[in-house]
Parts: sequence; C-alpha cells; structure tokens
Amino acid sequence: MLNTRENRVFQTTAHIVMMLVVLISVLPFLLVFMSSITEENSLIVHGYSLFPQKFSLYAYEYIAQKGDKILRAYGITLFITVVGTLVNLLLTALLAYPLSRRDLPGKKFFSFYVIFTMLFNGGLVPTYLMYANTFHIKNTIFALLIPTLLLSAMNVLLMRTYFRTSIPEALIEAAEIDGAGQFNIFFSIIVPLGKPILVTLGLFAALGYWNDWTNGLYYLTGTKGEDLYSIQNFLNKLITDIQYLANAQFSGGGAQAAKMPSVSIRMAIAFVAMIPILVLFPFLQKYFEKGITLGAVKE
Amino acid sequence: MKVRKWAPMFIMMAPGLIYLFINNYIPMAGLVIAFKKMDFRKGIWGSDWVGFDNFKYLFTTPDAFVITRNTILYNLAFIIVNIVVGIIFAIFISEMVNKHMKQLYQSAVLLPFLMSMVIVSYIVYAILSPETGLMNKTVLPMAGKDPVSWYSETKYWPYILIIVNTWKGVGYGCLIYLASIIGIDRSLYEAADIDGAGKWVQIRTITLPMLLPSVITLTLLNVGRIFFSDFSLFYQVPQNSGILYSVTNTIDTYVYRALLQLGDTGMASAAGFYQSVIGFLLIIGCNWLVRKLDRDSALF
Amino acid sequence: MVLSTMLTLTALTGCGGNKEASGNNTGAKDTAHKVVMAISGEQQPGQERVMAEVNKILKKDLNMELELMILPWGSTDQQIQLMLTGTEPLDLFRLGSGEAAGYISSGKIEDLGPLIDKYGKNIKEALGEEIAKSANINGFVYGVPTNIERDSTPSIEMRKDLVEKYDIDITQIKSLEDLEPIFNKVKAGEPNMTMLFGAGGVNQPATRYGGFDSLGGFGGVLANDGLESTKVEIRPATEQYKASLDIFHDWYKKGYINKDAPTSQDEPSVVMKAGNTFSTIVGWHPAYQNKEGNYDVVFAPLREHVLHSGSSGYVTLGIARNSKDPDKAMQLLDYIYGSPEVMNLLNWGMEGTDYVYIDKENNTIGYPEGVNDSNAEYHLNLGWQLPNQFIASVWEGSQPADVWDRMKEFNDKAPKSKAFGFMFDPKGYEAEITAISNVNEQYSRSLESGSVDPDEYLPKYVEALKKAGIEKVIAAQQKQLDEFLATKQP
Repeated sequence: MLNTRENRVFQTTAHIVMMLVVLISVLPFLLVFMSSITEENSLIVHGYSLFPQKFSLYAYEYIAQKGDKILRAYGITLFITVVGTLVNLLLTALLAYPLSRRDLPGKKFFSFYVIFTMLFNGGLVPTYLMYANTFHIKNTIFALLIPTLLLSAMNVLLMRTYFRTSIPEALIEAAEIDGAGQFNIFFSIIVPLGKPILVTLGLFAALGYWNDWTNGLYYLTGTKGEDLYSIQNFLNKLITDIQYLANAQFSGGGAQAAKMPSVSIRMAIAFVAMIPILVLFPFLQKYFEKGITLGAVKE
Repeated sequence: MKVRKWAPMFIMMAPGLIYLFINNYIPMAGLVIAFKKMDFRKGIWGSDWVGFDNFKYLFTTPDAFVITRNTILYNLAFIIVNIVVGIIFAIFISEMVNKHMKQLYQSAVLLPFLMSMVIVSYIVYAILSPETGLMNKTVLPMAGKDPVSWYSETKYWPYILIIVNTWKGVGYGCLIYLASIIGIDRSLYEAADIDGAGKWVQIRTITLPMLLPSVITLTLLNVGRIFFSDFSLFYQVPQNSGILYSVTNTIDTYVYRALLQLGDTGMASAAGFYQSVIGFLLIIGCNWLVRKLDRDSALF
Repeated sequence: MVLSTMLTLTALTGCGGNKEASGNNTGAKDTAHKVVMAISGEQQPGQERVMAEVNKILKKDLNMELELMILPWGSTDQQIQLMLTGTEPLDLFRLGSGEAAGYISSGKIEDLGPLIDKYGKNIKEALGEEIAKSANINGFVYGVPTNIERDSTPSIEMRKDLVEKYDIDITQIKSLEDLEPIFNKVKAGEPNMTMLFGAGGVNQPATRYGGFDSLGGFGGVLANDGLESTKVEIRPATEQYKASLDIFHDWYKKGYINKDAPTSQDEPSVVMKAGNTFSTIVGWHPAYQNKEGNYDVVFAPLREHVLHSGSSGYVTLGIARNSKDPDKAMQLLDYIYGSPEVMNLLNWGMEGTDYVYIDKENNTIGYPEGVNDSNAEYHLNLGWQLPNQFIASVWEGSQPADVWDRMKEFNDKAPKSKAFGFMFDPKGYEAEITAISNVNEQYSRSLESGSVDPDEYLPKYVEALKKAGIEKVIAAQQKQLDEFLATKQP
C-alpha cells in the first residue's frame, strides 16, 4: 500500500470512527455489568450508573443457587451449538455450491424453491403439530437441533452469491476437465476458497443456536423437558417468570415475584448469558481471522 | 458426461432440499388456517371455511394506515442504513494495517449482535428510564439540560429505533461485506496502486462494484420481509408505551395486541399470510427489475 | 406436488377428530387410568416421591393416577395453547376468564356443566351450587373455580413505620380524597420518596382502584361496580372514571406518583421492599401478606369489596379437548376437592419429610428440623392453583391459622354486581374487539397512571374507541346482559 497523504487521512478517519464504534458497543455492556453488581435497592432508588454507589453480588448468588442446573444448561448449549453449526454449514454449502453453477439444470426452480421458504411459512401451529405429534421430537435433544435452525435460506443464497463471484469459474472447469468428481471439487476447491464465507456464516449459525430459546419454549415441557434446557432457555425462563409474576392478576403473584431480585437479576442474567461468548471470542476471532486470510490466498 | 456431472450435484443438494421440504413446505399446508374458523375438535381440515373473514380486522381498523406506513418506512430505513453503515465499517476494517486494532474493531461491530433484543430493551431502559436512567440522571444534568420523558415523546423514537436496530444488527451485513471484500482478487488493487490510483478511487472502482452482488442479494431478501417487523424491537424497546404508538406500532405489534384477548389462530395466520403475499409480490417485482439490469445478480 | 400433498395430509391429520377412535374405557382393568394436570410453578426435586404417595391414594380409591406437569410461569400460556392444538396427553389445566372465550370458540376445551352435575359432589359442597358452575359463557362451563378469594377490596397499602412517624390515623381513610393530606404530609418530610407507586398493566393506581364491573374486559362496563345500574357504558366516557383520573393526574403532577409509572415493569412488592416508596394501591383480601421485605405494612380500604361478573372465573381448572376420558378427569378433580390428604400432599409434600405439624388442633404446619426455603425438596406453596386449599393445612407464620374461615366470610359477605355470573360471548365481534384491544393498550396505562391530562386524553380515547366500533360491542353486551338478567329473575 502506498503511503500517500490520502491513505494517511483515510487510516486516521477509519481509526477515529471505529474507536467511536468500540465505545458505543462496549459501554452498554459495561452498564449491564455494573447494574448487575449494584445493590437492588440502590438501583431502584438511585438509578442506573456506570459508577454505582452500593455493590452487591446478590443477583449472582441467586443465580448460583441453581449452579448445577446452569452448568448442565451450558453443556447442552455447547453441544447443540457445535453439532448444529457443523451440520448447518455442511447442508448450506452442499446446497449453495450447485446453485452457484450457472449451468445447473433447473437452477431457477431450485433457487425459487429455496427463496420461497423465506417468504411463506405455515405458522407456529402447523409446524408444532408436525414436530410434536408426527415426529415426536418433544422433550428430546432434537427439539433444540432441528426446527428452523438447521438451514437458513438466507445463508444459502448469500453463500451462493459468494461462490459465484469470488471463486473463479475457470478453476472449477479446469478441475472438471481433469476428470475430478463433483464431491472432489467441492472439498478441494470450494471449501478452501470459500473459507471467508463459511467462517462468517458458521459464526452466524453458531450464534443462532447459542441465542435460540424459542425451540425450547415450544418443545420442552415438564420435568423431562426442563432437564434439556439450554442456557438461553434457562435464563429466558427466569426473565419471563419475573415479568409474568409482576403483572399477575391473581393472589399469589406478588408474593412469588417479591422473592426474586428483579432489576439487578435481569442484568446479571444478561451478563451470564454472554460470558462464555466473551471468553470464547478471542479464540473464535483467531479462527475467523485465519479462515478469512486463508480463503483470500488464491491459486 | 452430463449425468456424471450433474447427478452428484443433485445428491449434494438433496439433504438441504429435503430439510426445507419438511421444515418449511409441509407446515405451509397449514396456511389454510387463515381461511378457516378453527375448531380443533374438527381438526385443521374439518374446520369450516370462512373465506376472507379472518383478514377483515387488518383492514377495517382505523390504524391500518399507520401500521402499514410504519412497517414499510422503518424497514426501508433499516435496509438503507444497514447497507451504508455496514459497507463503511467493512471497508474501514478491511483496510486496517494494524492487526490488533483490526481484531478489536471486528469484535466491537459484532458484540451487540450477541445479545437478544429483550436484553437490548433493558439496556435502552437503563439509559432512557425517566427516573432511574443514565440520560436523565447523569448525562443531561451534566450538560445542564432538563430531563426528558423519553417514553412519552414521539419525536425521538424514529431515531432511537433506527439507532438501536443499527447498533444491534449492523454486524451481520458488515461481516458479509467483509468476507466479500477479502474475497476480492488482491492483484486488482496492486494494479491500481501501480496506476497511482488513490484509496478513494480504488474503493469506488474496485471494492464497491465487487460488493454489489452481495448488496443486491441482501437487499432483495430484505425486501421480501418488508411487511414483517422485529416484534421485540417495536414492543419491548419502547416498553409498550401507549403514547408512542403512532411511531412504534407496526403490523406485528398491532396483531399481537389485537389478539391478546381473542387468541384466535385463524386471525393470526391471516396476518402472516397477508405479510407473506405482499413480500412475495415485491420480491418477484424487484427480482424482475434486477434481472433486466444485471442477469447474474437476480435471485432466480 | 402430489407426493407433497399426500405427505402433508398424513402429517396434519394427527390433530383432531379422532377422539372417538381412541375412545372411552379402552384401558385394561388392571392398569390405572392416568390423568395429566398442568399448573405453573417451579420444578420440585421431590416431585416423583410425592406423586408416588398421591398415586397410592388415588389408585386405591379411584384406580387412577395423577401426573403433575409443572410449567414455567412465563411460558405456561403459550405451551398450553400449543398442547391444546395437538394430541398430547393433557387433561386438567389452569385457565382464566381471559382465555376462556377463545378456547371455547376454537373447540379446545370441554363443557364441564354436565360433568359437574354427574360427578361434582365435593365440588358443589366446597364451592356452593352457584359458584360451581359460575365460570361459564352462555352456559358453556369452561372451568371449575379453585377455592380462593373472590375479587378483592381496593385498598391503600402503606409503610407502617411512616404511618407511625407521621402520626396518621388510618381509620379516617374512607376514600381517595382522604389520601391527599396524608401524601402532602409525608412528602414534606420525605421529599425524595414516591408517595404512590404505579406500574405495568395491572398495577396502575386507577386500575387497582377499580370501581367498575368490566364484564370480562371486551369493551363496555357497568359503573359503580354494577351495584345499581345495568346500563353498559364506555368506561372513559363515565363521570366516575374521569373523577378518579383527575385526582391521579393531580398527584402525578405534584410528584406523588412515580414518573415512570406508565412504562415501569416492576412489581410493587419489589419496589416497596427497596424503601423508597410510601404506598401503593392493592387488591386486599384476608390472605394478603402484611410485610414487604423488612417493612411492615398496613392497609386501609378505599372502596367496598364487590363481586363482579367474572369474580369466580379468574382461576379455574378446565378439561382439555385432548383428554382421552373427560369423565375420569372430572372424577379425579372432584375427588381432590374433597381430600385434605391429597391437597396437603400436592401443596406441601409428605408429612415428616417436607413438613411437620406445629399445631395439630389448629391444623398449622411448618418445615421439619433442618429444612428451609432453599433446600426444601417439595414445597409447592401454590394453593390458589390447586382445587381446594381451604381444606388443607395452613403454613405457620405466613398466615393466621383461621385464614380460610376469614376468607369464606370475606367471599360470602361481599355484595354482588347485578351482572354477577354473566360473561359476554364475543363471537361475531372479533374485528371490533381486536381494534378496541389496541386502543385500550394505547391509552389505558398512560391515563390510569395519572401521567397524562384526562381533559385532553379522555375525549381522544373515547373517540378512538368509537372509531374502533365500541358502540356495536356495547349494544351486543347490553343485549346479552339483558337476556341474562331476564333468566335470572323469573
């Protein structure tokens, strides 16, 4: 890169803007964390602050009472995230590659077939009936893995666009002339050269699994179901329970709600849900970086 | 030759296509619910047909115009802002020389993406709450200004919602663009350097044109969702404040509030069906337009 | 495409119409019939052990088994809704007047009327003839009420220490106006304190203050608790509503009510505990706690305790359409209404392990040595969701031993709205109700928290309701109510 004046101005502007972005991204997190260690009563009386007056770990103690359940939930989340992401990526890439070929017979039909699923959906009730009553996935680990999250039409199309624009067609054609099979081409050309998009969409798929609580809400019920709660299900339950009880119209509601520290615990919950990602982030980042740069090296 | 070439391709596609068939196409049969008066004793097929009765409430309401306008305008704003901001960030990050700073910036853009909208609504509340919020308690007094009752002033909310949506969502597009920029052949830039082209010219003549296919794909897909809105963003983030409805009520929040008491499956399906049909028509139209301009970028 | 349609058909026909096939009394005699009952709460580690004990009793007396399904508070409604669309085993579950109309019109629940007549001996004894079948819409009985308070007394709950400090004579509080000088006095001494706390959808001052029979909440109301007139009116158009809102708005302007009342999601108990709040309006009843955290609280009634149209239908147990055998489900339900043993087991667990008698004569119980709130294996403490807590033991310290006698008196003594026992059937007015529902959401919290000027917003509210078609709904409500009243007074 040339060290011209224009480039220097560009770099400086970029740094200033991005530093602002860092600030805007990190400060709210700090606010969440600070609120979570502020004493409940102090929060209600003095309000939210980055420099709280009175500290308390009560919210974390409250969550820690359920320590064994939390560990279990983390385990389940980790499992579904890893397995789900791998399967998701494989299905997505296997579908996206043929769709990226300009000469695929029926290309238009298949593309439309994929896009249509983004536009129309049968709604919750029919989906639930099929999964719960026909496939019987209720209260099994499949309930967290299969519905909705296994393949996203959006990601298929993004990956298709990437394959089409960033992987030279000549490369594939040359391999075909050499007599390479399509699976061979897929694994030796598409996957290595597609790394930037694979890593990016893999990250999104992983986040999808990590952050999902709706599948658990619909398909996990009762004692057996709650044993399979992912961390988000667990935390979401705490949050919605507090909300529900605070607005309960019947007798027992207020008394139940008063037992829970509501304001600080919401923040603590939010923070607990993010800790593992924050911890894993540098590693993910490294992979991410590696994947992206590897993909960029061509030929 | 042909068979040998394409048969493996169809095998590759099969798992994905089958999954979509099960997860998406089979439940689509349930769309008939939108045209039925559901009686679960009789089952979905046995229930009585009621024509377009379930759709009526979407159009007879005096709010029909407001909710449609809000939904469309917000989505348009989101699409445009997310593209512009996403591309700017992606270019900035991709051009960073310092590797550590690059990583830091990447994380910063992604960080808000990790949170659920419910948590975001708590953060917004912690900042804007009239009695305990950071703004009224700390920031505004420091600036010597009077406190603002954020949750009862409509004029701020279009900005707040766009900022929140961008803050939380820009990471998605940004990373897609980043991946595309990295996929651009480096020799193009090297050639430009030799020609003495400056940064700005390189961005305009190489980066942006190469990003166009991704931008078009993302935009087309978002146009298909233009009648849908993120329920949590429009319901939880404004704390369901009644005074703000004129600028926060969208089709999804309207339907939710409408069916609070009735809980009617048919009417809920009707709303979804209506949103889908509009999205479908729009995407067909836009795709046709894109096809005319650039055959390759069309979705189908 | 043919294939797809076929697959679809097989996939979706599972959802209904095949009850006859799986039919009545097909189970072999030696296996007990299992009834599934869903309620909300926290999972109990000792659930299996306690249910085994419950089932010993049920097997012996009824040749049945009970499976208790505990669902999380916040997702119960959604999970039950979904289960009711499918074929999963579910017999008994909690439902309230809010969901009833929707459940009935979509065929998700059984009509309990005939079943109560057939098997409801204990139910009728525990609740009385009138209440037993009172949770109905147009004669369709959607649930059996659990034994709890029927409505409540709108009362002001105040911190006892402050009442004493400022020398307030609470016996002098007879109405809303009497609170003004009290707030004035306390505010002068405690300038940073909230005098009256309001929040959420149901804890706003004016919401709690009540004073209307809302006829199920679909639009029209009867003014003055329905004690005098049976004319259905638009609530925001009544003088009574405006009079109370004027007071609350005045208080809001004076800084008595918390600024964030219209958007706050906090539960009053939590806020009272924090120590920055003097009072809040609550629905008082004899089982109401008189402590908020470390603070003792005192109450003064602001209105009379009146039974409204839906009073007995808020918490009921209904039978799902999924039930393989509604007759048996009702038999089992009726059995629990009359069994202190089963009630104690369900609510408090097993004697010796989960609780011990503290005073056998007064029927009060408490934790055994070494057991407490945080390590208890089974301590449901959700009597209000279970059929009949009035016959179970009372937990020492939480309530006076004679609480259920007081409760019975409280329920029996209250005057009844003229519309008591009436429920509006919203069928045919769905489009109007959805629009009204949106308008109410838009205006009610802002107004009922006192945060906006009634002079400006009430006319807007009424106008919006009229545009949404409230007059049509009110006419229908009036017609149904008149018919109901005609059958009531022969």
